[in-house]
Amino acid sequence: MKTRAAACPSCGGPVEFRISTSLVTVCPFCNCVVARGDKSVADHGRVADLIETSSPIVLGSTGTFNHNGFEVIGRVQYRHPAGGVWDEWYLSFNNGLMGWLAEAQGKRYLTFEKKLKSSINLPDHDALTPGHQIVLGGRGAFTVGEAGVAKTGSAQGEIPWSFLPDRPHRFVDLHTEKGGFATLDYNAEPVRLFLGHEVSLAEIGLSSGGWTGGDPEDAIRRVTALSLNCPHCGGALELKAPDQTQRVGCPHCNSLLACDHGKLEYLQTLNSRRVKPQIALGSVGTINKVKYTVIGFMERFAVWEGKTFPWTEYLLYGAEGEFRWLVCNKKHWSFVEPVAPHEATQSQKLARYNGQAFKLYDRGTAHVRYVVGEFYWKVSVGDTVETADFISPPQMLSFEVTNDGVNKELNVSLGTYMTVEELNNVFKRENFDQPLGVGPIQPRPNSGGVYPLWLLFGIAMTVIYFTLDRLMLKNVDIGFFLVMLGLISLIPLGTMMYLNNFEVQRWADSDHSPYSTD
Amino acid sequence: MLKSFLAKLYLIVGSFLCLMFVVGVLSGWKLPSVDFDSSGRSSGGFWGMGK
Repeated sequence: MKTRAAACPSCGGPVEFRISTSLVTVCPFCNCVVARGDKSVADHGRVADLIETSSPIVLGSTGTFNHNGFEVIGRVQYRHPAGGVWDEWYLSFNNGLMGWLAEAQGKRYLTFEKKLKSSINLPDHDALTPGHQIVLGGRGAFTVGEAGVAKTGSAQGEIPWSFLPDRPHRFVDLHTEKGGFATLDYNAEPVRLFLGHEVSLAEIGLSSGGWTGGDPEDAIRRVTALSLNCPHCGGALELKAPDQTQRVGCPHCNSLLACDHGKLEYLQTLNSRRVKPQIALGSVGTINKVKYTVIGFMERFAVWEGKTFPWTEYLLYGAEGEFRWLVCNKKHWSFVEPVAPHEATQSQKLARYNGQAFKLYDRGTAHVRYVVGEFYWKVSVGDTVETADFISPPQMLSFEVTNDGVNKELNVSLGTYMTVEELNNVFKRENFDQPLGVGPIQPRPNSGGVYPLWLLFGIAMTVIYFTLDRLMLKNVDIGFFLVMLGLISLIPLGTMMYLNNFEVQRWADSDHSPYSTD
Repeated sequence: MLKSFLAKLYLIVGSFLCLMFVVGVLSGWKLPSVDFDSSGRSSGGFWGMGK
């Protein structure tokens, strides 16, 4: 690397351009964005301090990808329109290649810029919505996961483009079914393509002063819980995930508060009626061997044929910083985990995930009616999302599209049915109510061997009939045989009717019931 | 195979009915024959012995 040294035009401190393609470098002393010119450097203004994230990566971290070593030399922090920030790290490889490592919601994507053929006509940024398919020439078909406009926040180190803070950043994230990932950068003309896939820290052998060997995920810095007071009523609040929380619903005064890394600001008083969560905020439970704390609670509803159908959702914060949900609908519970949008596909009536087919249960609009506790996005009463739920009991695959006209995002999640007994066990309680009716993903009761027994008894009775009929001199009454055959069929036929009725009830609230006579 | 209470119950009930069938056949049980021309009076008696 041929390093070019200069003095910061703002503070006079030494700054370096170690990479020939770096256009700006951020002065480590005064946060001034120093732009490289032909003969001199220019002051492009100052950037705000970086927002602390849980990333273990730092400038100077090194690693290996495809047998090529690299060093992390720059970082850009973007502000997501839904709240929160994500980091993009600029990697300089030994072979001269440059790469970007994006970190968002615990996932990391390593991408490299690829040339887009001029013959490829990309739709306008505004025309792209989640689920939209784009064919990038020979690179194949990609599905839009998110299209939005973020803002450049802060930066650190060297950046290969002319970084300016607080500028709109128009992006489109794409996924392929095989795990490929791409970002289209609509800020440039022509649009720039960054192509790659998801990676783990271990896969790219990342190391730095942050940890010494072992699992690099262990080096992830977690911001611990924070005790605060509501700025509106003074009530005590304890934030479990202050580094990620964007909104807090105060349980004392029903206020909605903005949260910026632990700093609370009053936004509005929610007029919605209070709903008492069945699981108190702060409750701790273990699901699939992971310890979760309930940090948020919301009530949502959908309207169908003039009727309101409410359900409640509990936001869980895991020991590793992950978010999960417990959803309660008519006292039927499910544990909900996020799914990468590219891993699930949907058509009009069918969705697929992990080789499993899911049938369409419902499409509609979900409205937020009540919130309390912490949330990692800018939630508000009245928020709406378009939903499509597909079922394959005991699981439900849900697609939720947020579209505010500018930012369009697709979130996919997988819900797995939980019995009341399992839930009692999770929270060490015994007072969860028994569910009402049949839930959409409630497992079908097992006939438990009734049908094979039916066959067995039927054969046995037929054999007895013909054997004794031949052995005895007089004929066995066929009517008697048929009546006994009918009697022996009562329990299996009753079971069959019960199970059929169970399925009919499962689909009772759906417009897409296979049992519908409409 | 017999995972449920229902299946276990059915095993008992079904076995009993099979046994009853064997006993019934050996005893010559048969359905009452209905004479439709005699105003509904049966000629064989309910579960009665055959003529």
